[in-house]
Amino acid sequence: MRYVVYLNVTYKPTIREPEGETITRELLKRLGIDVEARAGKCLQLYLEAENDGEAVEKALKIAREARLGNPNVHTFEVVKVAKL
Amino acid sequence: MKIAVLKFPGTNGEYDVIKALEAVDMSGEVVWYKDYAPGKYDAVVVAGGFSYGDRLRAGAIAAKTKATSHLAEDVARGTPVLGICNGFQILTEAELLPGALVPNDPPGFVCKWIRVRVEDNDTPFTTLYERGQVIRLPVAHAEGRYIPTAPYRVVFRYVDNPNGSIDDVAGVAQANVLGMMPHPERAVDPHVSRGGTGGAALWLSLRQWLKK
Repeated sequence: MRYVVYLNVTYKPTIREPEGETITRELLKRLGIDVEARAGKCLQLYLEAENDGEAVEKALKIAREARLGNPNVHTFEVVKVAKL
Repeated sequence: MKIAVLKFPGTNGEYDVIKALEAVDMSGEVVWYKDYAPGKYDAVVVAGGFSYGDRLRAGAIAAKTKATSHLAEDVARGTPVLGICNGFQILTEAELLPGALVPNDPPGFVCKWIRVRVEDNDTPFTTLYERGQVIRLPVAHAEGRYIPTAPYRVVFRYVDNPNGSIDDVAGVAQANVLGMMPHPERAVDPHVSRGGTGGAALWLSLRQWLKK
């Protein structure tokens, strides 16, 4: 079965993330919205799997092998998985 | 002596490196990444630019090519390797140098002349500099903020930090590998380099080191 796995790659909390800081300070705060934003990247991985769990497992394995995030500075997590 | 200037799709600094080598009576060969073979070269320069359009993140895709695996073999052999700008990013992504280079803080592309201090003159590329010497070099990058992740050996430190690098790091070394964000190849020829020739001693150092 074909799945899409949404993989979120973001900076570790200890790494300053100036794009999110700019969005927070220059856009949200200016509009009176008191919300903090951090920017990252979302990758959609289309793959074959037997079930949701296997799809997630495969996606995380691919992420580690291909270094879709740099383990020194990033964390990655699956935020959504869907059967196509 | 054979010096390879490694070129990936999107590399654009290779001919500046060739010109810098020629300015100090050396020569280099632009080597397309698919043609790179280990054990053939006395030194390797991974030139700057935007390999693979900086897709995913700067240097990440080039770091996973066969050429970079071959480069790791040459590093293990003790071959001097210099990564400039995107070349530095590739070397950190390939874990041939410690740390990571992340988007600048403040964000955006920075392109200007800056001052850097030579902190270590015990590499194949810095022997002719004085320790503590301040030189001017140009920078041009958007992802140059150095984040250390392991013990690191600083070779160049920014006097005017343009990108938020931790500890003002502009260049680090490990064994015979040096990576640096500033462009020493663009500060050699006084006819075109309005900021001076602070990069010339790097290429002269390499020449001297290779002649030993």
